[in-house]
Amino acid sequence: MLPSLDVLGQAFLLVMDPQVLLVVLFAGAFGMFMGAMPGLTATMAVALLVPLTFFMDPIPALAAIVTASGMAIFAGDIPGAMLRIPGTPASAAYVEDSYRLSVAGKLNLSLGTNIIVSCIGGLFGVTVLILGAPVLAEFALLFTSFEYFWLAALGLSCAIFIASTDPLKAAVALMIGLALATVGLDPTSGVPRFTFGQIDMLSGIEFIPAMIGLFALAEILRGMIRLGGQETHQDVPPTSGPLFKGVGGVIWTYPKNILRGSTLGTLIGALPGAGADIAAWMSYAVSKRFSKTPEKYGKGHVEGLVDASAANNSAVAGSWIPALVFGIPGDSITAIVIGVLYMKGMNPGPTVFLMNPQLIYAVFMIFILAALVMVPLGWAAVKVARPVLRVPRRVLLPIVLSLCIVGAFAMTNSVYGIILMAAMGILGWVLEENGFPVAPIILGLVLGGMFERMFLTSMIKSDGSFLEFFERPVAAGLGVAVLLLWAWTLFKGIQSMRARAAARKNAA
Amino acid sequence: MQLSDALSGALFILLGLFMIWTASGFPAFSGQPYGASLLPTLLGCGFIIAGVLLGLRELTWRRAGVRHAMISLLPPLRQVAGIGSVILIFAAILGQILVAPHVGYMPVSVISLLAIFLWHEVRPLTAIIAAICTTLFCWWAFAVLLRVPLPRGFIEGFF
Repeated sequence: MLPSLDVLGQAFLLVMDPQVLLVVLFAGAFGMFMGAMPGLTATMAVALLVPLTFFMDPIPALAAIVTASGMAIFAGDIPGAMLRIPGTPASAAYVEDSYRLSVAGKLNLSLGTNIIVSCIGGLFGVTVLILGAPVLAEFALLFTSFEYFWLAALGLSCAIFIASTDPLKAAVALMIGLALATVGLDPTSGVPRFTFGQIDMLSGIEFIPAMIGLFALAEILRGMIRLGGQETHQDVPPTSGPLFKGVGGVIWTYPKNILRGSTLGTLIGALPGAGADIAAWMSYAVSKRFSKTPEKYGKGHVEGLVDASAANNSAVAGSWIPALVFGIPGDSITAIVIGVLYMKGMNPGPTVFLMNPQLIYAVFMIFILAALVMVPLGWAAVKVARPVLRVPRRVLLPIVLSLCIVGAFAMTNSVYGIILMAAMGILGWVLEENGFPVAPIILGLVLGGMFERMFLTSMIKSDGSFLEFFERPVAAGLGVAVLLLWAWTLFKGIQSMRARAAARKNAA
Repeated sequence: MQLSDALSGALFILLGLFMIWTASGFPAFSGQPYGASLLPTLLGCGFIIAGVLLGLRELTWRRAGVRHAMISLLPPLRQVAGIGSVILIFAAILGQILVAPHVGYMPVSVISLLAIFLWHEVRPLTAIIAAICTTLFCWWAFAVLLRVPLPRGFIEGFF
């Protein structure tokens, strides 16, 4: 499925539109700000941006999301290095190294390395996306409802078992998401379900207000109830000289680490349910495992930072592979992206590569642009970060609350959006405080429609026989993978229960 | 609010039963044994199973001598500052739902932001400037640029 020059030309013209370039610049600056502010995550940045993208054409809308998410992931490193507070969870893996480097007067080296390596990681991820997605899409054209059912099941299962420390609670969260997806008119039979006579609910749970509630409002509630006392910032010593001084040497010393981090990040990103956070943690762990100096990790060593920094940015592009090719989100950001793609009439899936190839290649070009623009924007962000980071959370969080309220209102042009956001905010807050992760809810909400449609279609095609779910080779492979994943988790669960019981017996 | 696993398990069992009961009223496809009720029923069963497992987990912990309170407030919510924050956040949201359609988005936004800032001991001048600037920015971005019909209230006759 190689693109013709005509398609590439059209895509190039779409990206070079001054409006798109302006959006890239503003979304980049917004992403930088959100990522740099501790407590505001990349997902929240995208969630707050979506109401604005609703009013844009598809390409500027996607450009805004791609740029803001990439920038926010990098910018999370800035407060990590300056204040020892990771701006986003994706920067948490190496915050100790970043901060200790800064305390040792190497702030520029730490952040300069972050910028350049993030850019390289982003470019690596997008290269894999460009080369891999069309090939996979061609293959995916042969898929039937059975393969899609198993793919959706695999995505949902990964969200439970890989991305969570408590699979049972993650499973409950996922079922809540799937249950929310059943609200409204049933897409196949047109029967209203769980609407309680409310006309607003006939169209289902509006995805964006729900997401603003789950990710942003819940975070605001969590942050604001803990705002007691004066906030103090311990500044690291100022560093003079150019930001990128010495970065070339680091890259020259650790080329294998950059390649390894980028590869691992892209693969983990492409895995449904796992995103930049997990990519950073895993590549940091792998880096330490294979390092000649593992004892230096966590004490201001740049090696782990190189691996993890490349990984979290390559994961951003990697997570778009299953989203674009199969319509299955790689992480919570691409779950939002899928909602936006549907909103813009670009139904994700292999056919989008046939129907709208110029849009897909324009998205690829935006990824490249976003990775490149990260260097100057990152440089500017580091330069202005010190005064911006002094904005206290007691001022920042109410401002974000205002944006949430108007953003939710804008999605429905009525107070229904605000009501939905508030309800989801309370749900997300209570669930997270009780150890239930909220990301699976979004995955369930996004994948629920497709999962149910494919399940019902397959059941009707097979006349209720589950054996037919395994008759086609790819469907069988995916089905076995799902079953193995469940069996492995059950086995681990039983094993840990036995270990606990044995420990109790010994203690008695 | 923190619930013990046993209590949250019981709530999920109730949710599961409600889903199965409601789904039993959904019609099936003609000539097919399943339809709109299939997934909600399966999910209802899933909630019941998960609820039972959560209850069993709590039981295992109790046997091991670990006891959780059935229901407890988060530590920050036991203090006036924490409770006040939550009340003010929801007052701001309810204000936009109930009051703004009558008096407009702007006054409700300024007053609620001001109240939240002052509650968190932001200096009065900073609070006033931040509340007004945030409101004006939201109005400009959403009502002016994006033409979102935010309630106009008292400025209705000005434009």
